[in-house]
Amino acid sequence: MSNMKAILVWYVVVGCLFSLFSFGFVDPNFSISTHPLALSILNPLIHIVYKTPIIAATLYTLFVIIFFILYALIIRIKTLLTLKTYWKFLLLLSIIFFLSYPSLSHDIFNYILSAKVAYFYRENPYLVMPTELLGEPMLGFTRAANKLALYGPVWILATWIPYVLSFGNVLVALYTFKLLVITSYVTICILIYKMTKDVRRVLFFACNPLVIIETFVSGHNDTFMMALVLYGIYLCRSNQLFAQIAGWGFMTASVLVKGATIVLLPLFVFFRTLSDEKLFFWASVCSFGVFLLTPLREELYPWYAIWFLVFVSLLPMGKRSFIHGAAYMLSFGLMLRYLPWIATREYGGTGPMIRLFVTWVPLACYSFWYKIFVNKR
Amino acid sequence: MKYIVSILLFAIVIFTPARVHAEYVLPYPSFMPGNKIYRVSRMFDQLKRYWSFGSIAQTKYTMNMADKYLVEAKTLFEYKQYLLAFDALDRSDKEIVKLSKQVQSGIEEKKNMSLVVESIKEEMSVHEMLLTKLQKEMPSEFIWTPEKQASTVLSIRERLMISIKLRQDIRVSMNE
Repeated sequence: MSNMKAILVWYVVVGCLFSLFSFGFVDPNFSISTHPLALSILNPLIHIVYKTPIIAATLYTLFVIIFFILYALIIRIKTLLTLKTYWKFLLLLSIIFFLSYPSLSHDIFNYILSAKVAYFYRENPYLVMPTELLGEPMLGFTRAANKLALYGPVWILATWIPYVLSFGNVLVALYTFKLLVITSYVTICILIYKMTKDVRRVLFFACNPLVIIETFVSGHNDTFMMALVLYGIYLCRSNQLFAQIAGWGFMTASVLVKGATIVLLPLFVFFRTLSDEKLFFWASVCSFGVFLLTPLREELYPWYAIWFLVFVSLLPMGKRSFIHGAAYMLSFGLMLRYLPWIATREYGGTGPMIRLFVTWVPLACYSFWYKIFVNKR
Repeated sequence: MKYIVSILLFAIVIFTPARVHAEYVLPYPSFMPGNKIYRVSRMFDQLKRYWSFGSIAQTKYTMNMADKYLVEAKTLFEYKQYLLAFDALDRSDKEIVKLSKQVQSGIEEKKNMSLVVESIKEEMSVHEMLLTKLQKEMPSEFIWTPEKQASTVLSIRERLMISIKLRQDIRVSMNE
């Protein structure tokens, strides 16, 4: 077995363990199964997460470190495998992580409930909060239910498909909603390959543990938003007028998912005057700028990194590319932001300070190392 | 002794948990008739009616409109623009009439409407208070004489009484 194959196998094995570990985070008010066999597996995991949070935090840290080591090896190794092998690997990875429980974020329940407000109760989710629907069973485990729909109309419309496919069952909805986001992930991977013809750049995006966890485990709609904008760019690059109009349509739809991609619109006005590399570079810079501004609204959530990671993946990967290294280190730091919450089950206290520290210290260390050692060479 | 009583009173005020009651609050007056944007704002109100789909959203919309037009009527009454005030009050009453039907349709859709019903009851009480105050302050009649036309007697207090009665009926029906 080649080195690369061994690394991919390890990624899959650790992925299996992480998926299993994620079930320890099942909300006490949410019943996955009452079958004795399922309970015999779930209960010890739940015990670890809820009763021994320090062990859970240690395990989580270990998972993150192992994932990032494997990720580094995948993107740095010289001998590449065939494209088919990578697609098989990504498919396997998708299935494993798809089966996991949304352990690190409750947003997916919020998506499901917003869709339920719109398609089951037939109420406008922008005017009626889920908490106004007294007796709704999902209120027991859905966070931020006292808020009106947080996402744009394109997202609410897109959730009609997974909601209908779930037949009103929350557990099924969890997976149908994930499927929608995973489809977006696959779209992004295909588009990166089509636009760059470089497997390594696809791997830089597809194997990033932050992207995988936030897409497959938490099912965040940021991947959906980015798939729309990237497809918009792909179509705009065409010389056909119809494709260009459709491209603008996709970009507008992306803005109507979450709004973050609105900063990219001015870039596309000058689309024709910029080379691909410059366009993707400035798109990365703009997305990173919005990412940095998010604490003004709420908090710097790890999944917001997907906004700029998509564009960074489109940039050529030099041997010592600072932007790729920085994206790697920031992804690592962002995944550690969950630690205080896992260890204390609280968002306050010293949590914000620790989150700030773990997010920026790896990036600062890398920048320092790059400035001192790499830049001098 | 005086000091002890003062300290005790102070302590009671500070440490006794105060009951906080979030009262139903009417909105500030928006654009008034005569303003250039008034017609546009009415058009937006109509558009919002379609946007407010669903029995709960529709009820909330109706309540908002009833409040808006009532506040408009109050301001017009205070400026002695009685004819326009009557028109605004008519519009507010028309919205109020819709409420029972909307609540009923929510119940038929098997939605728990108790929060909405409570909110409507509070709204009706606030409306009644405002209309009663207006009834006391306004003249019982006003003779409106338009140019080159016969004059009309506007029975202001009688008209206000009709609106108060309507709201009382709605409040009672919500208790049933």
